[in-house]
Amino acid sequence: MTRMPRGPFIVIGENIHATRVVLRGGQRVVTLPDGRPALPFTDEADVERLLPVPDAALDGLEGPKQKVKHVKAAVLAGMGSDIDAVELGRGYVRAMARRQAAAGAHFLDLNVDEVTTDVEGRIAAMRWIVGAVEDATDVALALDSSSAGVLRAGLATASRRAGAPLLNSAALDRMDVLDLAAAEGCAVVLSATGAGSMPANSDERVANARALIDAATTRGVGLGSLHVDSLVLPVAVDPEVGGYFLDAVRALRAAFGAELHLTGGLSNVSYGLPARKLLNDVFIDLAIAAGADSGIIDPLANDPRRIAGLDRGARPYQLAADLLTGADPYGGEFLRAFRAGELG
Amino acid sequence: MADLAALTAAIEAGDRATAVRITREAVEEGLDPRTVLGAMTVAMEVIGAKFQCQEIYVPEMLISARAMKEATAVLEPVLVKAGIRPEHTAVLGTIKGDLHDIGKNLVGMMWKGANIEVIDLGTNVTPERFVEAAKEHGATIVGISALLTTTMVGMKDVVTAIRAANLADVKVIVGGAPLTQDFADMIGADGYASDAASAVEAARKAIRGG
Repeated sequence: MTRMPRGPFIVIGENIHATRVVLRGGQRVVTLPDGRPALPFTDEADVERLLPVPDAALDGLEGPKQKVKHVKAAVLAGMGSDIDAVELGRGYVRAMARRQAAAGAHFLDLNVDEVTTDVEGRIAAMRWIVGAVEDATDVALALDSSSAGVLRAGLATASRRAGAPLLNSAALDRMDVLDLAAAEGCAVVLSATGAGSMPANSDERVANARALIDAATTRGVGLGSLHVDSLVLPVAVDPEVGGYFLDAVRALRAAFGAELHLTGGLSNVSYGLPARKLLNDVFIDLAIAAGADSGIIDPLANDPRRIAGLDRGARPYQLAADLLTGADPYGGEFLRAFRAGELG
Repeated sequence: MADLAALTAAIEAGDRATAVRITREAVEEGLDPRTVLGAMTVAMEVIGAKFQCQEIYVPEMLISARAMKEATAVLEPVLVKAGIRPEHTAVLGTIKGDLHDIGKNLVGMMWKGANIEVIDLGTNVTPERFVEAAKEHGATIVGISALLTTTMVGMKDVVTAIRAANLADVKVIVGGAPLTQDFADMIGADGYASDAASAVEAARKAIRGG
């Protein structure tokens, strides 16, 4: 494999997302004297702070495996009426933003869809988080929502100090987001999910992407403002899907040249498997080799600068690559090596 | 004599060939098909429990379910002949507007593994379609999956439609990444499953509770 002599890999940092979970019994959660869980973070003055977790951000029975939706906790606290909690919620997401910027993120993806089920609440949450995060770093924002109204609200709030936000995402059944990108001069993620069904292979991914690229071009949005997401699905449930994504990336790079950005929610590939950091590292490397120049990833866990130096001849790398490309379907070899402690 | 402990072990290991071979032997020897089926469902219970403790992972659950499916296919004619039917039928689908099927498919596999008959309606399923299918198949369980926050709100419409259709025996189980128990309670669902393995327990609990 040769590395593509293109610009730096564009990291769309995926962490500030209301679904993100840490476990009650894990290292990221402490228990306050009153028994409530709290999330430790370091504020701008380098002081250790604790964000108490509102009940609405907890899921499951109380115990070490209880899920703490940590970003949701910060948004709920930040939008509440308790002045101390407001400051802590804001401080928590700003600390997340700084950590991601330090890890090399080019965009901070903000997704608050799961804070509440009503659209007005989501709009308010998007406004809040844009205001809370935008001036914490010099990194541009990526506004992430499945509804154009929420994206519009985020755009209206954004000062654009680090450039116009990236919109995540337009799709064949969300063409209004393309209109929004054209009107606001934003770059936009194009999701290759179909209008009535998921693409079944690489050809359908490419066909969906082409239709979206055509529609964007018609609206005057240039190739350099488009990040095509060729849809990454978990190899745990279908051994072929890693290859479908990589083939689609190769085909789109060959068809559209260097200007078009090719991205993907690359960490999805390892859902349902252990050693996700290794799998994501290797999938990012394979995606870059296939022609991707952008990724919706966690730079804290999977720094592309580190990944560029991975030893591709190493056994763990090869085992991961085999699983990701369908050569080790359902990961029999990979899981055996994991249990034998051979993945490092 | 067919080694039913080995059948259980083969399904746990996802060894299709062995699971099918032992099931054939059991059928030829005229073993009570309920006993044979029991050896299989025990395996899937173990698999579900191991998955919840993260001792095994999604692909392993999947290959066990496949081994069970192939072995059940061998047993099926005998079960039919003996008039043995699954106690419960579930109608399962992803909510209208949502095309994600991974979670839904995993739930379907685990329900089948627990000897629940599963009618899979696919993705993008309207409330009307859930109601029709529940009536048509005499379902006691309706399972609804959602991955998007924009679509999960539509689950309430399914609950409302089921209640409006007077399907008093039908229990609605909801699940999917963006859901919580609170949301399930709020829309009046009978059960909430946080993952595929707990969907079995959620279904059993809901059925017992009614």
